[in-house]
Amino acid sequence: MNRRPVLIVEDDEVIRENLREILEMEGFSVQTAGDGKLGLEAIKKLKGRCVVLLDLQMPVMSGEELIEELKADGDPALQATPVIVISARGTPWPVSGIPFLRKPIELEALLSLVKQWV
Amino acid sequence: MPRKTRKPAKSAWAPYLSSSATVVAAFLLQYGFRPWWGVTNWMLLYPALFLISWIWGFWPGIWGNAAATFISAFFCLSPAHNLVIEKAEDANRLITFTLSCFLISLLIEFRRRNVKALEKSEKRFRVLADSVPQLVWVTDGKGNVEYLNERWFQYTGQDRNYHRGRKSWIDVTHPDDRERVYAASRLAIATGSEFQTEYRLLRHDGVYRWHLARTVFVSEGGEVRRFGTATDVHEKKMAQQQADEAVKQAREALKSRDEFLSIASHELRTPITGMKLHTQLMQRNLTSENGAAVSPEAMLKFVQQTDRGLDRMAHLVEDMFDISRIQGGKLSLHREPGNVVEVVKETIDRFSSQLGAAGITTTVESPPSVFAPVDKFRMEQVVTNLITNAIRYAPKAPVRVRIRKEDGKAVIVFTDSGPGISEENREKVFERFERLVTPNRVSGLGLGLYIVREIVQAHGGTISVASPKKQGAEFVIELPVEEGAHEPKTGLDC
Repeated sequence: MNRRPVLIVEDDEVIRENLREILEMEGFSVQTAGDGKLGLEAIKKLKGRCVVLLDLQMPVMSGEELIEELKADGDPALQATPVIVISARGTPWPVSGIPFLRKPIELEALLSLVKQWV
Repeated sequence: MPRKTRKPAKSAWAPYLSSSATVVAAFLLQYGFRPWWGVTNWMLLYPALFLISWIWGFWPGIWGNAAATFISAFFCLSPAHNLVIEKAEDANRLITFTLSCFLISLLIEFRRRNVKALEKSEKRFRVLADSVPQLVWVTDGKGNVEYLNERWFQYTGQDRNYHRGRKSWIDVTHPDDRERVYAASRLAIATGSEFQTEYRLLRHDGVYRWHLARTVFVSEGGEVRRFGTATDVHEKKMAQQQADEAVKQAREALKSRDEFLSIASHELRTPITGMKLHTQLMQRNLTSENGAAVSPEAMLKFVQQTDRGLDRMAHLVEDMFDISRIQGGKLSLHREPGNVVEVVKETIDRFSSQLGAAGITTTVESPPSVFAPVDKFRMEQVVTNLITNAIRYAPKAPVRVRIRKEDGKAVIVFTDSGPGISEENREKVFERFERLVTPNRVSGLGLGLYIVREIVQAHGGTISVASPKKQGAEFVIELPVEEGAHEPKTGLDC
């Protein structure tokens, strides 16, 4: 079965590793990146064939910047990369079409979203 | 009193006596020229009567005129020694003489009245100009001084004889304001409008004070004059500046409070997110038969992580408490003589695993003991915050701590090898909610160094930061060794 891997782009190590363990236990294949720039490189490597769990507030490149980069990319596969935003930000998420999960994350909601895409 | 009243009465006659004497003297002189001029030529009498009117005034002039007419008719016109005049020609001449002299007296009187009126008006202007609290000046169209009021000299202390025909006001205008004043003045001349501007004028004691200057241009017979006043608005200006500053500070305080709330909520939510994931996972494991099996090892790890998350939150909450204590002046110290070296070393030991993980090696250079009256718990907090700071901002580089006793003070020098702190930010790092990097880069509330400074100051000590080699931050803490040698900041319960 050729399932898409889940790419966790999150700067907080504790959250990143916890998500990894949980998702791996659920049977997903998981990759991680510690900031937006590393995340973008990983997405390019996978040619957009992944589900991105994206934090917004990150060093080097923020989550918003990463989304902008994906949108501006010439490759339609990268443009269509499924993204799920996970953030502690209180304000409503302004980008339609991209699901937003507010930290602390409801695990069930996360798993059902990930399952849809994978 | 009688003397006083008699005196002017006596002097009131003097002009008439002088007038009479002058007329007689003129006649006697003229009598000497009789062989050449004849008896009907009164050439000397004209200037005599002119002088009388000029010096003693109109009525003595009329008196002199009457006397001259009488003497001429009596002595000079035939038949002599009476007032009868035989020839019509002589009568005409006498009438012409009398009328001419009357006109001369009249003209001189008119002129005198004009001059008096002008003097009166000028005096009024000066009294008025000297009585106002403003500085007043009149200059020509080019700005050369024609008149300055008394207040000007009192204020500037300039020499009264120096001004006329000079632009002496430039000397007392603040150098930074000169160009602006010139420009405004040039514009006003070009447009013919009034000109109003604020600038600093130098007082005699060397202090510049803000003035509001208004100048109007008046055209007098083709000549342009500038009439100006300057009102001292220094207090108002200062008050305005203070008010502006206060508003700015209030705005900044509000902004930084908003930022703090946003950062704090983010910082608290991060450990909550981790813990929430753990509990949900364990719940899922316990309730669902199809749930993923979590090994006891993994379970232990989650519990440990949850515990660390709680520690992190507790630390944040404690920081926030400290801020509230500091602001309320309730940061209490329990000072007792303690070995500063021991406190520093113990705290660093406690952080050895985190320092190791961040790739930081620490060296402590110190004598075995440096005693100072300190609150041990608060000093540990100081060292903790500095270490946390180094882990955040200067990872993978050595940290050097030097402790010594110097000039009755315990000196702790804490040097990291991070990016350092630029000169303009060296005070800022100790402010509340200040983080010199953007919120995306580093986590934390931006309270650490603020708390450090407050604790050090509560000990009567000082803290400063430098980047001596343009790299790495060097924090220098100086604590008084003698108890009570430096009174701690007021408002703190020690």
